[in-house]
Amino acid sequence: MPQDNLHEIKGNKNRLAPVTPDSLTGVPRQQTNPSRWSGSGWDAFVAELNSAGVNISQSSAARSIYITDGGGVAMGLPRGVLVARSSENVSKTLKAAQKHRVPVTVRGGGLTTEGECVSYGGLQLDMRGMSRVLHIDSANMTVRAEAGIYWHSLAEALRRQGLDYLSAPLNMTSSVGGTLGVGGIDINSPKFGCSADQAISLKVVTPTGYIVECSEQVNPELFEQVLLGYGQFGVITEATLKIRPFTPIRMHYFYYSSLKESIEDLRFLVEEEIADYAGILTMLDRAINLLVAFDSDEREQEFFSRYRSRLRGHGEIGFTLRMAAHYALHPWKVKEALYLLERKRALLPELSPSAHMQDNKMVDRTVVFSRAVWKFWGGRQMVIPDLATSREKFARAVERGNAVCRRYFPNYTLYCVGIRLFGSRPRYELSCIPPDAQDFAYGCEFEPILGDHYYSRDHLQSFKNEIYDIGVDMGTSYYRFGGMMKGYIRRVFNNELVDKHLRIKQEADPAMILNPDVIF
Amino acid sequence: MSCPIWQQSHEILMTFAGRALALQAGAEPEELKDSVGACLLCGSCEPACGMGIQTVDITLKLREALNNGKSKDDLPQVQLSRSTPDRAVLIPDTALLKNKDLLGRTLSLLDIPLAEDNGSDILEAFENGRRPISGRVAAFYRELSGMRKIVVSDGLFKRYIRAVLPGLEVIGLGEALLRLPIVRSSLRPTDLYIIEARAFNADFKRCLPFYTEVRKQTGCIMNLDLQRIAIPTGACCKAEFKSRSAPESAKQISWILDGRSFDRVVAETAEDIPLLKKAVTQPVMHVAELADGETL
Ligand SMILES: Cc1cc2nc3c(=O)[nH]c(=O)nc-3n(C[C@H](O)[C@H](O)[C@H](O)COP(=O)(O)OP(=O)(O)OC[C@H]3O[C@@H](n4cnc5c(N)ncnc54)[C@H](O)[C@@H]3O)c2cc1C
Ligand code: SF4
Repeated sequence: MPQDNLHEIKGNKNRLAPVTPDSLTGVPRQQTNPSRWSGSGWDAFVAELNSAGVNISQSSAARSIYITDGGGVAMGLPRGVLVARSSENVSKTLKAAQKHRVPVTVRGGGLTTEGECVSYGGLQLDMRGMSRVLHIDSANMTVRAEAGIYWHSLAEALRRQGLDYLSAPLNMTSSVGGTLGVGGIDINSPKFGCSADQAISLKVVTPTGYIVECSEQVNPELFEQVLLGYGQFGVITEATLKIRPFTPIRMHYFYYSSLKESIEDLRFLVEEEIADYAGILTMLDRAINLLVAFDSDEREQEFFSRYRSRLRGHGEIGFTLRMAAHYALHPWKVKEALYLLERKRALLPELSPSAHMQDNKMVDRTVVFSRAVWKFWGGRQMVIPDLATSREKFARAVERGNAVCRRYFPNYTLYCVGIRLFGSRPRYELSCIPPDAQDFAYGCEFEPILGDHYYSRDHLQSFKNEIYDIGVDMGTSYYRFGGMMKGYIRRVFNNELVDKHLRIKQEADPAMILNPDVIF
Repeated sequence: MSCPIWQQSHEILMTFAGRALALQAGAEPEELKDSVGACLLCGSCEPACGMGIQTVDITLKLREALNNGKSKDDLPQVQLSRSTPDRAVLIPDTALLKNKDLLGRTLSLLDIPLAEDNGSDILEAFENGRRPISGRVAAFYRELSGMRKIVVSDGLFKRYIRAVLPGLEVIGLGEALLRLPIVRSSLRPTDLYIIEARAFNADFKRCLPFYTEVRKQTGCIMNLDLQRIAIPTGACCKAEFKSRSAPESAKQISWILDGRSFDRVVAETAEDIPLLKKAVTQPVMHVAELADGETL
């Protein structure tokens, strides 16, 4: 790789900060934490901001709460914290950070799993201080909100008016801004695409501190850079998003014992646009659950009259009988059978809790799924590497990832979804969207159930790396990654493409202070 | 997310989640004084916690630590006798006690006597991590130990009494009244029903199905968020701590009302009523008044 080229941008040579070396060649794959920043500009930076009325908290209590992210594997401490309150104070902060070369790491919900939103010695900018819903326009079906808001809080405000967002991660504490920068996949992404594709316009503070409104019409380049841009090209402070009328959903579950068949059926549902929501959730690779749901009774009826017979999945009773027959013939696997039974007994009621059901429809899918995720998969560490692939590579990628899970953990879950694409938008380049995907991409999360077992950090990181290696080998992408991308970016995407984006980054962020170590 | 402090400050360190993270990282209670002091002990963070942490107990311990007070564990454990009589009693909060008319209606509806001692000084001490005056606790509990059921109008008492008198049925006043068909059947689909959050959240697993049934049966809306956690008004809070982030009840009420349409407000707590009356033009009434039917 022509490493020198990476440091040289025509006419810009003097302004450029060195790129962190491990984003270039010979990247150590086990590395999780970047080295701690120990630049000299901190005191002057804080003093300048203080005199401009922007107060940085430096107490150890204030800093300590940012020590890790949702993954719980990467650890780092900021030197100071700013809870963002306005685009103006973000702007002042970034201007001062450029001047004093202080790294600024932005955090929304903090649900990254590779330490992308963890600060290693610089400033932690907590966007959740900007969490207001600014305007709901039910005539044009849009909402304007500050970008630190949790999707769940946005849903709360919208629901009071019978409205809903289109799609967002199935957890309650990811923020709008953090998600627009990385992707955002829901079980209705086959219909609406990733969350980033819901954005109509954004207010962005550029890395040099300019406050800019952008959309497909106004400043479209910035708009496309920031969406799916891993926080590299600006801080999103406000977003206007598409919304829709709220509908409770009718869920159906079909059970498979073959991963391949379930994936083929998921692809059929997604690509023929048969269901409003679809996804696969497994217990190991034995009990595979294809969940299918609808926003309207008409769509549901159409599914049952026209398409149900083409799915190979069984209803609960049929599947239980088949499983019983299977384990009767394989009695040495009794432990696995008992585990699956216990899991089913505990999990299924959690997926239809009475308080969240209305006329047999699920009212709050995010609450139901998020609670189930934390209850059954959650813990101090969340290990959820994923792969995002084109339709052709999907089944193979899942099979290979499944084999890795089997080697590393006794119990695990696979969670697969489809993602609608909208043409070849510039934002898809060097993003979670696989370069060879057309019309639809697919994602699979590989989620070990850690339970009370203790696994070393190396064990967990090695597992993740093995999953990510499949992506390198197969030429896929990863649907919501950031930090690990730094170690993988040149393996996954070609140098030319990465260099192109690096140049844009260096132009936009001369001191390379905004979200360093995430991908560059 | 239902945390009123979060709702009003959007500062994670001020919430239970922030306190827990800071404590894990070795912070001292003194460093968390502002956060500990701002807490309403409403318990909304408890059912929301995926790890099942007893958030309110931890915050109370932090208050005790800040006051160098005695922990709840040091309280006398009162043994219930096996032949506990079938008796019940109402422990009213100070606002209800002062409102003689409302208190009278409540007692006659529930058909139970009033506790001679409403323990408000004990509850305030408990809420603020202080040690109550010596001998008071034992005297208070002696009266209660002869009971089978206790109805409390401040839900924080649920936690306190249960800690000392496990096995005793302690329920919130709203729930006790809604169990009466005459009260429940008077709720309308156009009512906004304000649950006393401390009572609901302290007993979430049991209260949730009960209130879900009431909601489904009557069609009324409630001050529940999407997680079905009760959003507190904050009116019951008697925290003595000074905190820059202490949530304001008026803002809480405006959040509860925001975007909801209703014809009447029904509240479980007497303390909420004047605040609600200030905030809405629709009639506001106490749940005990529901039994009086249309005339109210
Ligand atoms: C338990 C769990 C369940 C999950 N479920 C899903 C799921 O169903 N679907 C899914 O897609 N993902 C899921 N994720 C991943 C996670 O939700 C996404 O990474 C999430 O969308 C990130 O949002 P956040 O607010 O937490 O961002 P953060 O983690 O705070 O930040 C993400 C990145 O964006 C940057 N950033 C944050 N805010 C801004 C901003 N305002 N402007 C610019 N840059 C910013 C950060 O520096 C970081 O690099 C899950 C994660 C966990 C731990
Ligand atoms: S008890 Fe209430 S006020 Fe206190 S932290 Fe929990 S939710 Fe917030």
